[in-house]
Amino acid sequence: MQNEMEVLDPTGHTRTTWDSDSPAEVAAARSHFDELTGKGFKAFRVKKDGSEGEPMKKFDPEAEKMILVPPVEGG
Amino acid sequence: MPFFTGTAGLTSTDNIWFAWSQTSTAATTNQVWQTWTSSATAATNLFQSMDQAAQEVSDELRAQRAEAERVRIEAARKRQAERQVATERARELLLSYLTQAQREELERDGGFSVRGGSTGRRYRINAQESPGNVEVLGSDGNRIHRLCAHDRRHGTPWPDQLLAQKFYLEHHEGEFLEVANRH
Repeated sequence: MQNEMEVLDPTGHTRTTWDSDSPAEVAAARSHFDELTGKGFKAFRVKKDGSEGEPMKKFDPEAEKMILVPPVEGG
Repeated sequence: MPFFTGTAGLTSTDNIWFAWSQTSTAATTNQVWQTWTSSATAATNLFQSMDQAAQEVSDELRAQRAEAERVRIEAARKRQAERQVATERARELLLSYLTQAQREELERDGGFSVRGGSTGRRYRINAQESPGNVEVLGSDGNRIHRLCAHDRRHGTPWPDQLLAQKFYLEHHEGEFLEVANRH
């Protein structure tokens, strides 16, 4: 199954996909997830249609889809 | 007494001047000067060459400046085009995460409502790019005050920022309220 992670960035967003049966792809996606959450990005598990977000603290290789949003600051 | 006013000095100076201006030296000097100033000579050519060289340097500098300006404008156009593409991609992503009702509200009113995940309070996220675009709504739907919190470090296009505000308010409301400035 193709799992995907959307990251909000200067290009609008970047989509990363991985196959949960592929250890290498899972490791790469996990590394990306950890790097961004380490920078304060918030991760949410969502359905393929974008509905029903749920905060994620840890990378879940089985998550169908997730979105990572950058930290917000007062302005 | 300076040496040139003394007799010996004057004589000596006069001798030099006399020799310079009256003797064959003068002729030589005049010839040199004539040679120097006459039109078909190296002197004129030298001045013309210097003038021409200065003009060439000036033309080259002008060309370099024009090229640098062209490159700068081209880079700015490219950045603007990339930014437009990014904003459009972000807008599409935002719409994909809104409910049908929120999309309609956005189309109709230029903003959409969300419920705070912790308090159940209603917020309205205005899509127009401006500080304090998040409105805290009262039970009557009127604005109580405005909040300002955005992504300031990652250069995300404006629609991405609206999406981030939506996720924060729905799932990390307390954190959003903690960092947001109140207007």
